Amino acid sequence: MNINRPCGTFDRNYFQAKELYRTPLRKVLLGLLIVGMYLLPFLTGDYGISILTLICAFTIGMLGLQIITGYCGQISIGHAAFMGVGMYTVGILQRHFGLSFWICLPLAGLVPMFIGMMFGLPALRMKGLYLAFATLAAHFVIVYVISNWRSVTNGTDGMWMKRPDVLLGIDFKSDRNYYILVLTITIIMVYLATNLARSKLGRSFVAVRDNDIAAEVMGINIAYTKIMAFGIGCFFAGIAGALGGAYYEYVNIEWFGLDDSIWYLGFLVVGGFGSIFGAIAGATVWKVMDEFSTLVTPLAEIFLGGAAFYASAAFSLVIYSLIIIVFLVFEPRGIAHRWEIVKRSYRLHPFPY
Amino acid sequence: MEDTIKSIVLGLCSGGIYALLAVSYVVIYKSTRVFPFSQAAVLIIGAYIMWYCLIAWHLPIWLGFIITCMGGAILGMVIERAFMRPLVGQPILAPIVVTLCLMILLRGIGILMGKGDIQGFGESFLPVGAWPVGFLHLPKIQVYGFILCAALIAALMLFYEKTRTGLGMRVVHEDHVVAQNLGVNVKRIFQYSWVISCIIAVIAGMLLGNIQGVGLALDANGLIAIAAVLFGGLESFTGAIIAGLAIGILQMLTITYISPLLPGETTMMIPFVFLLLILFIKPYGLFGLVRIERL
Amino acid sequence: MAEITRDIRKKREQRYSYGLTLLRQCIEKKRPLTNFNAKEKESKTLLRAENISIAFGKLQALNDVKVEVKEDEILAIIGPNGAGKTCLLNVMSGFYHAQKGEVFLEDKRITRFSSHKIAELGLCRTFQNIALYTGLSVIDNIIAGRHPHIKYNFVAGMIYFPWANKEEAYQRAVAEDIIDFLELEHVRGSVVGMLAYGLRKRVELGRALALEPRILLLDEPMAGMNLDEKEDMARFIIDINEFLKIPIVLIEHDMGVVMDIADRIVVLDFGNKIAEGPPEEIKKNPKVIGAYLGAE
Repeated sequence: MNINRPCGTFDRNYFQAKELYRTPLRKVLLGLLIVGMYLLPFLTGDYGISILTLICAFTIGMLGLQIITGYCGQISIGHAAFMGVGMYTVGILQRHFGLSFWICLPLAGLVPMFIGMMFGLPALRMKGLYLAFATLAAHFVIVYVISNWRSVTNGTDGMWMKRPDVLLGIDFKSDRNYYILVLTITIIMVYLATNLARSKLGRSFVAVRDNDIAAEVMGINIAYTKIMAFGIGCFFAGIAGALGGAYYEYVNIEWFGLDDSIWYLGFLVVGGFGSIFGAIAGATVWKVMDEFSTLVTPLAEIFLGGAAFYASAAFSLVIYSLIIIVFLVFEPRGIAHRWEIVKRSYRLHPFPY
Repeated sequence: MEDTIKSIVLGLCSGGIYALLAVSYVVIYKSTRVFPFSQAAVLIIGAYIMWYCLIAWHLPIWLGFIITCMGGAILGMVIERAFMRPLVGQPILAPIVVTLCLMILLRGIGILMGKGDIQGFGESFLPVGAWPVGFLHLPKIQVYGFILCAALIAALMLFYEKTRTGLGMRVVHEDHVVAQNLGVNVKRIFQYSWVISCIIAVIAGMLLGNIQGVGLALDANGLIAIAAVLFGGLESFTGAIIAGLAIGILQMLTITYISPLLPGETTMMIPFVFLLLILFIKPYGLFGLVRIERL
Repeated sequence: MAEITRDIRKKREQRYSYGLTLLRQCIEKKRPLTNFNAKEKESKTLLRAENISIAFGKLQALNDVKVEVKEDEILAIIGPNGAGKTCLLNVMSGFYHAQKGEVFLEDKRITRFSSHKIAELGLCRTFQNIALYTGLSVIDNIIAGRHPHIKYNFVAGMIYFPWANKEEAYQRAVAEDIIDFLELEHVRGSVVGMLAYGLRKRVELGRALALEPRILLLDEPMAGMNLDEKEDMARFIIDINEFLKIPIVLIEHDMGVVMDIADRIVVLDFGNKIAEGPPEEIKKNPKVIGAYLGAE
């Protein structure tokens, strides 16, 4: 975050020294970007709106995983399950209790938060690989519980969800209005996550990731830190699930298999660890690849001949894993690192470094 | 009582295959400190290759066996050279993500090879039928499978104890840098570990394809074997064998006693609940090594 | 030539005390150093470790060791390798749990406390093999050391403006003072993983200072340094002891440094304390000479 100011200008106080957007130009560009995101649905059709809504929802989920794995170093292969818990929380509350979406939304964050904290308890004793196994087991257990608790969750048939009620006269049944709601919530979540990264808790996350024994000796309560990492990360995942589910107006546990958890982790690697931009980039790449694969499937059918329905399933599996592996082999720090290099070369032009 | 004994014996037989899979995981983990999630999907590839050899191309059994083993060896070499070698030196998350994605990649390739879902092997290459022993009916497939697994594991242990390469592998198990300084070619040992593990996994895939039908559902066994490996301790062959048998017995007992009580598909889930319990009680497994961190 | 070196030294000393005064003022303005008034009283025992025994399997690392640290002294713990010096420090800071024995900080029993509670109470240590947060920059490491003293909860941190903003700026100011004190300005922004060994040791010292400790445990702070860097480090240690009034426990192998700056020396050998006293006595103690050079 030590982005230099233009030549000759310096920080005059410590508030300026820790600013994220230092020059007036960057602030204006940020504002234009946000305004542009709001105006996009008027330019693209319905298809564009659906992609954008999903990108925003999955960005929130990716931010959650970035907090758990990228900032705090706790490997979590069960993230998709927590997103499912968030979705199902909204579905259950709407179906059995008839609560409105606005009340369900914070609860959709809090329920996975507590479940995530529970599954974060093994993280206190284990590190690295063992934690990965624990989260893998957690994923299966959660999926099993949701699939088979028929009385509450309607099992594998899925549940219907309702969009948010009318607020301030805006009807959220239309996709465009719903997208604006999702975008607003995404911007708030990105803001919270960025501030978390540079606040006291975020610093303790990075300290626990880098050297947790030293962190403990230096006064950081690593039990609290790890549990909070899981809690906040799963909170984000739950909110992402609620928003995504309300978009489709239908939830089904089939969407949250082991593959989805692995894609979460993999596309986080593609986006880049340890930065907010990395999470956003990873979610964008994932959803764009989703759309790409649905577009390419008819071509694959022509290529392989026959009713090659299996080709579409295999296509996404093979191509996504190849992309993730290629990124890990050639650019392990992901798109965010490449973007930093691009920005730096632009700033330092014509010098190489 | 009869049910219990039947479950235990059948569990032992299927536990033999889980033990084989667990050993294949432990071989790679001990050498390279990378946990190979991808072996769960190598099962599927092995089953499909055998299916192609026997059913599609009508080759004799021994030829199919050899071709499958060679296919497994080539797969191991390709994985190690192309995917694992460039990752040396990266933090612990990188190999985990790569092996997970490899699992999905191999499963995707399995879908493309299979052009569909579960298919039986036709006539299995192992004799069908059962031997009645008292009140048990031991299916011949299971017994022969168990014997094959035991023979393979014994051969592997002999390889480690008696041969020079095995000695080199045991040195690499302890410490890579020390091994390299002593003149052991650590990269080649990595290749050997992957090749051995893939061959074992492919053979296990053949057996399982026989018993359960060739299809994508086979990698569930791989995931259950992960629970077995953790139960036994990630760095111990003895632990892997014992844990594999134990998980097999647990599986069968679950199917007999607990499944009727709980709704849905519990056979996948119970080993993972067991895994979570183990991780709470004894995080390093029965025979695993506890790593003490020094400052 | 002599004038130039004298000039530089004078300039260094001027800047030096400037940084120190700032450091003291800054820290004391909001939260005064608790042992500020200690110089006037009789020096009493600050840290007391009694009858510490710890064994790893069959290896007895410490055997009934008793160590006392008074409030304004520099205590050096010396001994051949494997004597259990780092082990003693680990027990005192709560990283190892001794099988027998108690540790008292200001007459409060801290034996079974977890490490972070002990750090919050004011006992801080550095590490022999540097344990810095390798992904963060120097200034971030030092601000990370301020963790127990930063006063906002995580929700305020996520909202950030205005409470966390002000608090972060204040902590940055404190960290800058520590950097001033330790003369680390030129590497302030660089990621710690890139720094040389000597600079990393200094950053570690800075991080320990950022905790506002009541007592500082240093584990081989001068290992692997040349004469120039050793003198710098010795100067910092003496200044921490005198100006910031923090007692220091020092593990060190360099006898020259130890004899120069230590007020009292404790000698360990294979887990037993074999001698204790001021440097002159230790130099002549036959048991110490036997342990280091071999008995006759």
